[in-house]
Amino acid sequence: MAESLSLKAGVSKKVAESFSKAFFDTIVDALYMGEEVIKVKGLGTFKLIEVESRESVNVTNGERIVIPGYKKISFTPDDTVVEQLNKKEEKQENKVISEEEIVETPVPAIQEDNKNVDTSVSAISYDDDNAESSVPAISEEEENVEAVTPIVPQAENVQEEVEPIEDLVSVPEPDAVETPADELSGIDMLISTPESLEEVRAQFEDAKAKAEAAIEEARKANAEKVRLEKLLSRLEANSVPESMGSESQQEEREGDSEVVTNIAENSIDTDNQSESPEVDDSHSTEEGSTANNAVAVLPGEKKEESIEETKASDESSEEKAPKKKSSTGWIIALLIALLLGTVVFFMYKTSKSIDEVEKVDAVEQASKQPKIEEPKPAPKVEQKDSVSNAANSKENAAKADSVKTDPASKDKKTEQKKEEAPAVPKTHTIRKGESLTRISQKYYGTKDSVNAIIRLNRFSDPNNVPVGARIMLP
Amino acid sequence: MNNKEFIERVSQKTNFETEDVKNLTASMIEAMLESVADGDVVAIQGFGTFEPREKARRKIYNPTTKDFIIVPKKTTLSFKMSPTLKERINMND
Repeated sequence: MAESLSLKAGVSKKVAESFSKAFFDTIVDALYMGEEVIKVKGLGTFKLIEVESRESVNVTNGERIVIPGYKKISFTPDDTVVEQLNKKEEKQENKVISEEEIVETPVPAIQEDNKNVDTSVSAISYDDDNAESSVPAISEEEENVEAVTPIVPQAENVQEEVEPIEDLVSVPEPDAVETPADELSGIDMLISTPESLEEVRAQFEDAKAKAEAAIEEARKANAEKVRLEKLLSRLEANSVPESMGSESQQEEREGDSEVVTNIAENSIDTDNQSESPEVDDSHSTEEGSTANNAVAVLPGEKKEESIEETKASDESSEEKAPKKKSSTGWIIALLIALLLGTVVFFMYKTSKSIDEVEKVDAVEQASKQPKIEEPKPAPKVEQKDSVSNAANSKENAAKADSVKTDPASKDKKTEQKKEEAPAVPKTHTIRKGESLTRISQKYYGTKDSVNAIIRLNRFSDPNNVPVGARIMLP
Repeated sequence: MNNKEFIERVSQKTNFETEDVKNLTASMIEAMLESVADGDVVAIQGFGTFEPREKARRKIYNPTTKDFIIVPKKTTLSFKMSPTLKERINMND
């Protein structure tokens, strides 16, 4: 120690020795004198720490002992010292690190193995997709739907054709898309979805072509309708009593509540009200049906788009699409309704309850009014019809679903019967809107058991399990 | 007591100039660290031993970000009192 110092500093050995002694003596003395902290630049800090006396138990006897308190010196090295040490030991560490890496590498290799297993699983599902992809089943369904409804006039045929297409489009896609969101088995889905998507898109385009043709027809019909409406509005503005009669007829269909309040409102807004209902009556048979088709088509298209973009679930997308269209219309309708309500309020100053009822009517009537005020009413037709047709379309959709699910379930049930043959403690029949993840969540409380379900049931396509199918639960 | 005070005291004890003490301490520490960096234990009679200690790499958990961070291993300088120093310090209580 002293030698190295003498070499370094170029001092004699004696000096170096005495100095080093003095150096450490001062530290000790300082600590001894009650100095708590001694900082030496380039080395570190020495601290005097008092350890308090504490009780302990003699391990052999079980007796209690008091360990007397004492003082100790703690030393924390300077940052520079640590840096220096680590720098100098980097060379040595590098060798050690290389060894560590060798030890670590097997771990990722194992993970890769897992991935391989996953991919192999996905490959199986992928093959299954190809084998009995859901698309052919859908095409069959389409034909079935068409075959079921030839008796119905053409207009309805178009409508029903369009809606099943929507459903066909909407049903398979969300399932395919939902499952990755649920983390069914991420890799599997990612690989399997693109194909099904492509197939679905091919159908999409067909459906779109049909839908666009229908839309064009419907628009022509609307144009005619608008002209007739204008003519009627002029005629009806002159002849109030006629309009009253016409209104009452149509509004009886719409609802009893309206009829009660309509009389009051008719006197105020005769012009607005009278025009729209008559138009509907006159054109309801021929053009109305086409208009319905147009409306039905429009939601369909928007649904498709919304599905492509948002990839939402079946139900939500079906409900959202009409809402989107109607929303713009409803805003206009609400504004007009508010105006009407205020006018009515000032005119009659009747009770609030009546106002509210009138407002409700005004909203419905307001939806008709814009037709007259604005010559080209694509949104107006949608408003009215979407309200009325939303119900129709849903019913039709329900029919289409029922029609659709039958062949699909038949197709797959035959295959699944073989698979489900062994007796299982628990089974679950899939209802509409259920996903495998939801089922697993329901029965096991976690989404993790989805894979177990899929493995157990050996689904041909776990993304698209038909409604009504029985699945086994692990 | 900071470095300045410490060096003054050493100079008082050794009758060296403070500048010389500074240089000497610096060179002494350098020599010490060099030998420590080589993995040697530097023992000083009546004071204690300095030796390099490897701190294994470890995981630390950040509770706010909920991350596990791996702190790489490093070497620090550890000091252990010699028994004589311990006695001296604890004698007069």
